[in-house]
Parts: sequence; C-alpha cells; structure tokens
Amino acid sequence: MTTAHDLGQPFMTPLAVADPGGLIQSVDWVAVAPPLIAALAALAVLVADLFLPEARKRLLGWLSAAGLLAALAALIPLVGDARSTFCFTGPAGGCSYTADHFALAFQLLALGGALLTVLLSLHTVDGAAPNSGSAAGLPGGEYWFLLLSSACGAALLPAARDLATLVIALEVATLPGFALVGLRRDGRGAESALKFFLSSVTATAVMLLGVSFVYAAAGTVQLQGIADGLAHAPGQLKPLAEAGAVLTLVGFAFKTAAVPFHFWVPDTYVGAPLPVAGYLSVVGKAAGLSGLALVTTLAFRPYGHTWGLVLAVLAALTMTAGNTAALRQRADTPHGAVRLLAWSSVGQAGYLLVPLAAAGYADSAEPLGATVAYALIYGLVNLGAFGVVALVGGSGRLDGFRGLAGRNRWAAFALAFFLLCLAGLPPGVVGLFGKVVVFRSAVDAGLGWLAVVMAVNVVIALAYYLKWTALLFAPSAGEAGEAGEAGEPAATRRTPAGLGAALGLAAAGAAVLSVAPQLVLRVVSGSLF
Amino acid sequence: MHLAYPAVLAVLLFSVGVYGVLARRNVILVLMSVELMLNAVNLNLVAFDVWLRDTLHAGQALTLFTITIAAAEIGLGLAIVLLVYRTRRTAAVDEVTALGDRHEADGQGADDQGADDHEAADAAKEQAAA
Amino acid sequence: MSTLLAAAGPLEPAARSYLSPTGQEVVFLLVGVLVLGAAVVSVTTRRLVHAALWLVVALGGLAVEFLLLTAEFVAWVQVLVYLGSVIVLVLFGLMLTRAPIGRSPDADSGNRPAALAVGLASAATLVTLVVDAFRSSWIDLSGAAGTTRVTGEYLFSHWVLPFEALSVLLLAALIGAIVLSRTQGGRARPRAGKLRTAPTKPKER
Repeated sequence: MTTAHDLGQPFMTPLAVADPGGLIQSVDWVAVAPPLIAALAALAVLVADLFLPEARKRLLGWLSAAGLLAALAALIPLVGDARSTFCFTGPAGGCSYTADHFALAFQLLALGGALLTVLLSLHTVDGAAPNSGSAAGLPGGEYWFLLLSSACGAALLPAARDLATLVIALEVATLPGFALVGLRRDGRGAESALKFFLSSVTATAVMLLGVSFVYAAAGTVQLQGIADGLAHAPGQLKPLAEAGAVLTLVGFAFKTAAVPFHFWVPDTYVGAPLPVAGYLSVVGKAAGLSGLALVTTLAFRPYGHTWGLVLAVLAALTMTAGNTAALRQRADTPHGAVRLLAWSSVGQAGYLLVPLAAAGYADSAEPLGATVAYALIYGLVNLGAFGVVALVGGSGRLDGFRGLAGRNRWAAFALAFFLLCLAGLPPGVVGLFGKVVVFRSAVDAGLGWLAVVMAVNVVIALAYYLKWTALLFAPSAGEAGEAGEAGEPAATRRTPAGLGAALGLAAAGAAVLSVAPQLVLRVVSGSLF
Repeated sequence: MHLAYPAVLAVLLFSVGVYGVLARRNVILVLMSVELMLNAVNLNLVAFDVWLRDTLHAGQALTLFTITIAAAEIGLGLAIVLLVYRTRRTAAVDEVTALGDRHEADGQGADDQGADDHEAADAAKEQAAA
Repeated sequence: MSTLLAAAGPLEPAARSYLSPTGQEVVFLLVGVLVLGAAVVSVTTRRLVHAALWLVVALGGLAVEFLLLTAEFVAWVQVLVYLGSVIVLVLFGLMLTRAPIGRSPDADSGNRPAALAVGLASAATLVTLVVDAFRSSWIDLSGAAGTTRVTGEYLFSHWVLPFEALSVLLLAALIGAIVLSRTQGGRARPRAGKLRTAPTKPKER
C-alpha cells in the first residue's frame, strides 16, 4: 500500500499538468491516496485471507489497521493548499475530486473512525479467537474487507465534487454496511440488516429522483455548476429545482439519521455486532453529514434560506426526538445500553445539523467549521463509549453497568469520561467546547430559537448521561444475579489487546483535546473550501 | 418529442413504485418496487440528457451507474432476504419485528421471539467467553 | 420516422402541439402505456411469480423507450442487466423463499389504502410539477447521442472516478452476498441454538 503511495510521487507532477485538451483525465495520485490506499488495503486483506493459514488469520486485523494507518498518513502531505484531480476535459471545467480542508477533516474522521473500529473488533472476529468455539464470531477476511471498502467510500465522499461521484461514494460507504450488520448471520443480525437495507434503498431511490430533477434544472451534475445553473435557471424550472433539492437532501438526511428518517437506527444498532454499530454511528453518520454539507453549501447555495429553514427544523426535531427517546429507556431493557447510545447518537446528529442550518442562514460556508469540529469530537468519544459497552458485554442491560467501578475500575472511569464528554460536562471539557462552538454558530446566524431548543436538549441529555454515569459508581446491589447472567464477573476477564488499545486511544485523544481544545477548534476558524 | 412525455411517464412509474414499497408485504416484492422507482429515475435521466444535449453526458453516465447500483443492491438484498428466511422462516416485512422497541420492552412475544432471546443469550455468553 | 422528425425539426416550438404528435411520440406513448400498465399489475397482482414476469415487461418496455430516446447503449445495458440478471435473481429469490406459485394471500400488507393515498398524492404532485416545468420543452432527437462509441468516450474521458468507485461497490456487494448466504459450515460448527431454530439448514442448498 505504501508502494502505491510512493509510486504516485514521480508521476504526479507530469500528469497533473498533462495537456488539458487530452482525452484522458489527469490523475493526481497523491490527492486520491487516502481512499485509494483504503481500497487497496481491502483488496490485500481479501487476497491474504485466501493464503493465510487458519492459525495466522489474526494478522488480517492488524493488516487492516496498518492499511488504515497508511491511509491516514497519506493525509499529511495534503495539508495546505487544496488539490483537485479527475478534472473534466473540455470547456466546462471543474473537477470530480478535490482534497481541501473540508475533505481532509472528514477523511480524518472516516479513516480514524474506521481504525478505531478495527481495533474494537479485533477480538470479535473469529480468526482472532479460534479457540473460543464461537460460531457467532464474524468471518475474518470478509469482515475486514467490507469494513475497509466502506471506509474507502466514506473517505471518497467528502472529496467528491459532482453528484454522480457523491451518490456512488455514498453507496460504497453504506452498501458494505448492510452486509456488516448481518454478518453474524443470526436472526437478530438478519432482521437489522433487512430493516437497514430496505429503508436505505428506498431513500437512495428518492434521492436519485431528486438528483435527476436538479440535473434537469441546472444542466449539470457538478456541484459548482449546479450553483451557477440554479441561480440562472428559467423561472418555470424553479419549483422543479426546489423539489429536486429537497428530495436530494432526503438521501443524505437518511444516512445522518435526521428525524423522519431515524427509525432504523435503534433496531439496526441493536442487531449489529457492537463495533459495527459504533462504526455506523460515527463513520456512516459522517458520510451522510459531509454529503449533506457539500450539496447544501456548494450546490444549493442559491436556495440557502429555504434549506436553511428546513435543516433548522430537522435539527430541532432530531435532537428532541433522539433525546426524549433516550430519556425513556428503562434500565432493565435487554440491549438497553446500545439502544440508549443509538438514541443519543440521533440526538447528537441534531446538534451536528445546527451549523449546517446556520450556514444556510448566514449564506456562507463559515459555520461548517463548527460541524466539522463537533463531528471529530463526537466520533472519538462515541466510539470510545461503544468500546466500553463491548468490553462489558453481558446482556447489555443498563442494570449490568451498576457498580462497574467496583469490578473494572478503568472501564468505568473511561465510560464515565466518554459520557461526560458526550454530555458536555467537565472533566469532558472537549464536549463542552464543541457544544459552545455549535451554539455560537446558531446565535451568530440569527437562529436564536434553535439555540434555545438546543440548550433545552442539552439539559435533557444531561439527565440520562448522568443517570448512567451514576449507575457506574452505585453500589452493585443486584450483582449476584447480573454476574450469573453475564457468564462470569467482568473483573476476572482480561481486556483484549485491540479493545484496550482502542479505548486507550479514544480516552487519550479525548483527554488531550480536553486539555488543549484549540487543536480541534482551529478547524473552526480556517476556511474549509 | 415533447419532454413532458418521458418526464410524466417517469414520475408515474415512480409513484407506482412508491405504492408498491408501501403496500407489499413480501420483501422480494418490495425490492421489485424499488427497482421500478430506480428505473423511473433512469428514464428521467436519459430524457434530460438528450434534452440538454449535455456534452459531458452526465445523465446517461449516471443512468449506467444507477443500473449498476441497482444490480449490486438487489444481489446483496436477496442475500439478506434469504438470511432472514433461513433464520426466521418468513419473507414478510411485518413479521420481522422482534427488535422493535415495544417487543424488547415487554420482553415477550411470539415463538420466534423466544428463539431470538435464546440466541441473544447465547451470543452474550460467547462475547463473555471471548 | 426520420422524415417525420426532419419535418418536425425546423418548426417553432409554438407551432408544435400535443394535437399533432410525431410518429416517435406515438410509439413512445403506446410503449409508455404498456410499461405503466405492466408496472401497475406487477405491484398489485397476488401471484408472486406473475409479478416478476410483469416486471420483465415493464423493464423491457423501458429499454424500448431508451432506444426511442436514442440512448442505444443504455438500452442494451438495460436489457442485459435487468432482464438478463436482475429478474433471474428475483425469480431465484422467490423460489428459495418457497413463494407459492398460485395466489398468495399475504402478498399485500394491511396498509394498502394508506399506500394508495401516498402513491396517488405523490403522482399528482410530481405530474403537476413536471408538466408545469416542461410545458414548452421539446427534445431534439436528431444526432444520435448514445451509441456505444460515444458512451465509451464520455465514460472514460469524464467519469473515470465514479466508474472506479463502482468497482469497489460491485466487489463489496459480491463478497457481502456470498458471505451472507454461505451457511456457517466452513470454519465453525453449528451451535445448538442455531440447530433448534433452523433444523434443515445444513442440508439446504
């Protein structure tokens, strides 16, 4: 994989300036390296799966992690000026792929999230635990391959600058997700996969209808060209263009799990393998969010006030629905912990939409920085929380977490820290800063009412995050019964290496950002596109 | 040719597909309705491409991509349907509800719910053992 | 047809009307009615296999429409991919889930009236929208736009990136479908719980 990267270097300069009138698009290999390396790593894992003996299958997981690390490393030389490639030859101009600050930030989130997911799932994949006799273990090579291809799509999406690439990248990011959700091949996984699949496919069809209308009104599918085309569209095409814009937003709103399209989230997360649920809640959401940001701020800029209002209402509904449903979760429901995280992720998606709505009102891309910063923080912390839930295991009832501090002190502290970050309370200062940034973007854009709704929601969310945190440190009254159910007391288990590494990374990252939040908040001030 | 002909045909087909998605109970029939919706989009895209005389041919390119996406989706979708059928013995959308909020909160349901709980407990044990 | 088209070509948009359709328009309309009828039967019939066969008619008719719109290559891809493989897959799916050949009592769910309302509402809205937007737009069908040569040229001179991304998508779909439909025989032993839920599973397929 690194060879692909190295090979790219000598070719890059001559090809990038190759004759513009030529038939073949010029390719800047360095610019496309992050998604490309992820795709190559996926292929490498798939091929290696064939040749590795059974006993050494655990290497595949580390190979995937290495591939994602290489893809992350490939982001470093891109920092600085925006680079475009796959440009259209001919008079129209424009490019399919642009690696600017926005793309890099979301690629960092997608690839970093995938890396954490790989570490989280190292011990669940059956190749890594050949002696556990687990038939429900996940088939190794295919699991890593699907995860990496999905990460490749999620990394391609924020850099795509035309609707065709955008739609396909979104599909590449989600389609392996269907298989990943059902990969345990039991009833629960199958049902989750089916629900996820059917609703997602329908959303894709609706989105494509919107894309076709936008194409008719604007005459092009390039995001920049659409903005120009819509601004000068003849009057009778305006309603069509607006309908197309709204329908296009449906598909991305579905992937972000914004409110009318959020019903699949809890069922899918509960049935999916836990690392996959964490992956969908972070990387899947990031993919939808970056697509939403691209089409709204770049393509539909002329209609800023229309979708600004739509997104503001969506954001308010999403955070309210997510947080109230999370609040209603009872402590004794099976899989209550995942269900609560699922609903809380719906609520968090609401916060993430706020700066997008603000961007529509302010008529500039500036508030987007808040979304990027908050998404990075949320991704890190949420994957950490999913990691602890995977570590604790058991039936996943919230009751199972009672007195965790007594059994596994580090896990309890980590989970408490992640929850406080999600809630935005000290010592999880980074969550607080993220919320303040989002809040400010809403106020600056004159969306006072949305800021109020958000404040109320943050308070509602405090209730269930704090309740869970308090449960961790409560005396474990029903410990005997719970321990019997979970098989054995959690304290006697060793933490698997990958899981420990992932939790350590997430906790360390969140802690560092809490001490020095300017590292991530710097994104807010710079220009993104 | 008047552009309204293909455009109206496309949106009517799309609406038929929407009806099918909502009204059908068998998952495979739902999938077929989704195919109708995607095909309506294809007709739209091709008509607009020819109408706009697009030099980049974005419409036709996107049509070809949509056909590919649809093929990939239906392949994976049928695999999921078969998996559901193998584990639940049904291909009806409204019988696959064991994960719903209400079911889980009540903790009891139909027979397959019992089997499911068994499976879940099994999975939990394995996770604990791992 | 080409003479008709040549006659219609130079006319001003105002002089064209719905009242004097060209030959191509007549064919398009007739095939369109067939496609729509087949689609309606396909989503309403209670015989599952018939639904799939009516879908063949609808999708095949659409291929003819693509040909009439001069998108030759797309039409052949439609025939090859949809009629050749998608429908076959659907039929296999129906058989593997033991779909009854005759009338199936549970083809439709209980919310048909609601679905009908939504379908009609979306049809009314979209038709109004489209007719209003395109009331004075005419397609000029001279100059073939979609021969294989042209298709190859635009695909590989403008759309290389999405094309390559699609290869990842197809491979992922392939691997995903294989891994989901493979029974767990290969590496791991079936566990008791699975056997109880699906007693015939290992022998199937």
